[in-house]
Amino acid sequence: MTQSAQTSRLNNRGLIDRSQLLDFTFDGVPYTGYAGDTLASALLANGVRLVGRSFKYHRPRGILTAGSEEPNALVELRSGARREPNTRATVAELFGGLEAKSQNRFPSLSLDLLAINGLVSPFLSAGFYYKTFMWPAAFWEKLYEPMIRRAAGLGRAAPEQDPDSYDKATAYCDVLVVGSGPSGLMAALSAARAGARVILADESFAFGGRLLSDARTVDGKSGADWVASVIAELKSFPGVKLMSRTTVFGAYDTGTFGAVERVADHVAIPAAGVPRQRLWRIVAKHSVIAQGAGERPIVFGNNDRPGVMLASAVRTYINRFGVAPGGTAVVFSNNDEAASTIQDLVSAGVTVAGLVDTRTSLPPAIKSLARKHGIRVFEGAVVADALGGSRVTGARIIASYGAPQTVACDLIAVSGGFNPNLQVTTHQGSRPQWRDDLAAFVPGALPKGMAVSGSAKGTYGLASCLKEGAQVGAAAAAAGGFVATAAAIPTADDEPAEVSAFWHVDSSKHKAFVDQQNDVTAADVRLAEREGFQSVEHLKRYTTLGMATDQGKTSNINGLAMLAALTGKTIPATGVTAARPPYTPVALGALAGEHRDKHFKPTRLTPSHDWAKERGAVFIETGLWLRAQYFPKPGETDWLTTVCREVSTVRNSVGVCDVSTLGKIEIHGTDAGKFLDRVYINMMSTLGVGKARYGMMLREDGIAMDDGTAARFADDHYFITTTTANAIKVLQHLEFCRQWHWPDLDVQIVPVSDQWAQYSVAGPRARDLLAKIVDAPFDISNAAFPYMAVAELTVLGGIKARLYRLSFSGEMAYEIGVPARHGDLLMRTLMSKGEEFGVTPYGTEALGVMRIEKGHVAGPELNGTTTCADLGLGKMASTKKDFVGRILSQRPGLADPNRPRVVGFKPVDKSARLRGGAHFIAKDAEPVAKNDLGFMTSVAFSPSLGHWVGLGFLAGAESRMGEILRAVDPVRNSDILVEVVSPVFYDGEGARLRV
Amino acid sequence: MSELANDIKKASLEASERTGLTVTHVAARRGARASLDDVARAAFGVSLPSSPKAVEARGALIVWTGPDQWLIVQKDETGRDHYAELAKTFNGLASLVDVTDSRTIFRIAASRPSETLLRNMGIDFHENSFQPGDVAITHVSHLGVIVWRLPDGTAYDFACARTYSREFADWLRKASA
Amino acid sequence: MRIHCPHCGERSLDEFSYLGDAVVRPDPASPNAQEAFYTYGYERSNVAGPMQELWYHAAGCHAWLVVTRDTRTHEILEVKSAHEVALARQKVAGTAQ
Repeated sequence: MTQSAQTSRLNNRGLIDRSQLLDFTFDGVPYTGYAGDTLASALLANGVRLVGRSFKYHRPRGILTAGSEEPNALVELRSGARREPNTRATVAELFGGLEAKSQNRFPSLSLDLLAINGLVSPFLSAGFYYKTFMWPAAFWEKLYEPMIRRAAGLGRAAPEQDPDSYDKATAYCDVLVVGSGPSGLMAALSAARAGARVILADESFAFGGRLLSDARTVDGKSGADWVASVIAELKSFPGVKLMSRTTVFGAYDTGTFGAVERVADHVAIPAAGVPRQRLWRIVAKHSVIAQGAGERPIVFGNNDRPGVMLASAVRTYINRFGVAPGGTAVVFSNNDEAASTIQDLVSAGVTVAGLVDTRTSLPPAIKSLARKHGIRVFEGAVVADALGGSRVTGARIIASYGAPQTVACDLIAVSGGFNPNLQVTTHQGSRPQWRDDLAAFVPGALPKGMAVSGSAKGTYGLASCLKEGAQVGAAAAAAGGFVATAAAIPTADDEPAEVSAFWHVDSSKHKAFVDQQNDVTAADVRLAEREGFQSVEHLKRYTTLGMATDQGKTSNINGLAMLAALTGKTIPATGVTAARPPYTPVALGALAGEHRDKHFKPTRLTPSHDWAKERGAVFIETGLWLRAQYFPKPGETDWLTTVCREVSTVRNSVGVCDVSTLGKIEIHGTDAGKFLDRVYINMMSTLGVGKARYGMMLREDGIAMDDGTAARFADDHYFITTTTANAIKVLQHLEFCRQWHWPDLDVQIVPVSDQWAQYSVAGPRARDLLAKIVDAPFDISNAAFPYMAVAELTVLGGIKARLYRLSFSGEMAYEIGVPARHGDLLMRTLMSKGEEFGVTPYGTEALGVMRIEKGHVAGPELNGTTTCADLGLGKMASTKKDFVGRILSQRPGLADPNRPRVVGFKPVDKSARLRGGAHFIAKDAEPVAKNDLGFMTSVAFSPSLGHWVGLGFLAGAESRMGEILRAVDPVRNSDILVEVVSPVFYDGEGARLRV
Repeated sequence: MSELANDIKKASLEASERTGLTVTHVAARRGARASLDDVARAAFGVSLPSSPKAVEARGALIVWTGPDQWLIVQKDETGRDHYAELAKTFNGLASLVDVTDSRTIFRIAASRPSETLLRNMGIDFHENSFQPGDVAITHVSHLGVIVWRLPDGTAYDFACARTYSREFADWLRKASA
Repeated sequence: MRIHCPHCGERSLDEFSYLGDAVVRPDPASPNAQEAFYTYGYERSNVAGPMQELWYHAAGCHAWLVVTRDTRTHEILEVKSAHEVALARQKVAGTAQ
């Protein structure tokens, strides 16, 4: 294939690197560009004007701007898993091999069948979602929505997972300067010279802002050369961090800024270990916002045709990129910047066929410039319509005098004045203020520590921007305690910048677009106003003006100025919608950073995790933990077989379960007992040293919060456990009680969850097994170490350990804790020494089965809505003391004896399976909500009993013992008969615990 | 945890896991702060820091870990039980818990942080902001950590919960590359 | 947002968790304890302006803090140790008796 020449590239002009020719494709056609190009400038260099189809009407669209405010030139970049939709060609940095595609066209860009949407546009006017597709409702899902989705929309997301990595980072500085135009550079320089830590961030890949785009001189140098000299000096300060390709997208409270750095967007594939993008949190003591100003278009007929371009963008393409964006231009303006545009066009060899200015009397300087170059001047005139279809072929000009005229051209350079880029200054709620002399909003009261400088503030002259930047930068450094003086001001001129407000041409014949990205026309704005949407906020939502990904950077002010004219109000009285972060779109990948897939959250591993893995455990995520769920033996293909074997082994011999995940907290101090009395419903101060007790904590509202055990090792030393899930919550609660409720108590709280590897050794042979590892002379006989005893001892020849005679399984059992580093050794030793008893490790599944067999409540029952009475633990609550939750647990609603209580259930047909979540209904009642008696919370197949058993909450539980109910689970189509029984299915007397 | 040390070696970082330490949590008993300080001065020759600082004294590093709380980090010596000795020294004035196994301590031997480490820390880790002897209890990438810069400025120690230590080692490898 | 922990220094919002306004647990022995606890638990005022709130330095020193924050601007006007505020409160109560 032949590569088209860069026919529109200008010789000897621009800041591109002509030594680096880069190949790229657009819609499959190969082109070339240079390093330093954006995709937009490279397309224009190759004469490509049509780059996309619009959102709603599928109108042909080109390139309107040269920056991040671009509403039209949205393309898909790359392919496969790296395909990225809705990327602005005007900021996409060109690289060798870049694949770009136009989007929202069918079947091709030049022939788009859905452009017929333009013909049915009466149905797609403002508010069409709310009106046209209202009835009948059934049509929405089947017809309207699929149709709209096909017809309207933007690019396609990649179907596969993003293969690139993203990173998050934090930076601190004394002065953050956002934007590296003349004002930003001087601010950074002044602050840096004072010794401040400075961050200078710019969204472009090159520093300099408009100094790269306009043919201006500073200190007798070209803008670009002066920028290079300043950057070189800034680099010499160790405290200065220069961040190009970095968009500061949001300002948050207390000097916190969000920024995204495009680390590797400008290469095909990021190098190994390099993230694609990095999300920065920048914490700045002071900030200088110098993000410049954005030119706004004038709204006229067919103003969206490829070839209509902002005048400042025209200058950027000529001066920075060395590209002539057209052959014959008409300049349509209401301000003095037209002079620079004409000069740049002429110098680039572009014919200027006319200057159309809305002002009735132009400054003499502009007139004489036009005369010098033989340019026709239309004063008090407008471009009413652009002519042409997929590209501009002319301009229909209407002056205040004479008949409309048509001037042939392929480029209309339009300028309606400038809007300061003040979005970031408003993110914390401050409102911009209107300035009539600028016909623009400027920043209002600023957040603490923030200053704004240069065009972003409405200071437009180059010399003024340089001076203001120097002063503001020095002031920011001085406010941070540095001795700072404004850097000497380089010599430069202030260009004339008079503007006469003009928003919209009334006399257009064709569709005139206010918001080009969302296809909102002038007619839509008029319609909305007629229908009563006269507040700027209503206008926005009804027409979707400003709600596209560009947040209306080129459309909001025009829209509200038009609304103001329609309602007869002033612009400031009409108001402006709030800008919210992000300033420009931020990829979700960048916001997620590294926290995705298995790094979505940290994983906690118990000390004997490696052993469990070797043993072939199947793991389950419980909160942040990875816990062994069950340990299949070779030949066991079904989890139930494995779990039943584990349970039977524990019930008949001995098993070991890793319970290291339990929350563990040391409670010390002379008031430790008193403190625990106030946080547990039962008495802990009366617990003897060397004993443990089950305990329950409530929330202050009377609902059960957590349960666990408290062990007392000394008068002033307790050790408590929490459930795995609530370890952090309970610690926070205890610290709250200690610090805020009872600050006078002598209590110290030390979390030690990670200190101890802890194992439950359970079963009739548990003592025999432990006897093999406990160091002499410790006596673990039932007499010396009975049920609920605790002790500190040593095991395996001197390892400090703690032994607790606790049982969750219902068997004679112990929990043994050793310092975490010994956990692996202890587990391996228990396994090898237990071989003679046929010891089995057991996981969370068998643990769950045995606790259900024993009727112990756990997470499914402590579900944040149940009281201790609901849980069958009402009698535990002490009446001799106050405790957290006592008062509110006595509220009538919570103390109601008819509240559902925990009971047990077994199937009438012993082979039937119980289902968690099934609802209980009286045997002959309809399964409807008003007959609901409660629901099943926990179920398990009991190998000990040979049938399913369940726990659940049942209203009027006491009087229903022995009753047969229906357990209805409509989700899984199960409806069986169950018998209401005691929740304790196994060893009701607890005889097995105490042997 | 030797596996960790290997992982780190592979990435050729100047980070290592510190072993052979006893770490004791000391929390002042209510109203005993002043007397505790007297005893600490007698035993170690220094006051217990009242702000996020680490002080080195007689072979022990005393690290502030919250209001009226410290970690005392001591190198193991044959025949000595540091925890028992401290318990005796501070008897009645402080609650002591042996937390040697609660955390894994990694050391980066460097006089200042690398660019990478600087941007990966959530707090201001610049060498002029986080100075020798400074301590911070904070989190990085969802992982809680106590970090201190040795009083002589030669290294940074990161103490993270033991059950997160592999995750933390991953982070540290990336964050200090 | 950043909060200046009186113990640790200024830290980012993500190190802290929020509880609610800094109200004091009522006296459980008072005759109208039921009502007082109900008010304490549920009837919180929604202040537009400076508000005293309880925050927890969860990822830091585990101190509870009394933060005075302007709910309209998020400006933080003062941060105190909740423990010290609570001690001072008890001292005043003790003096009053």
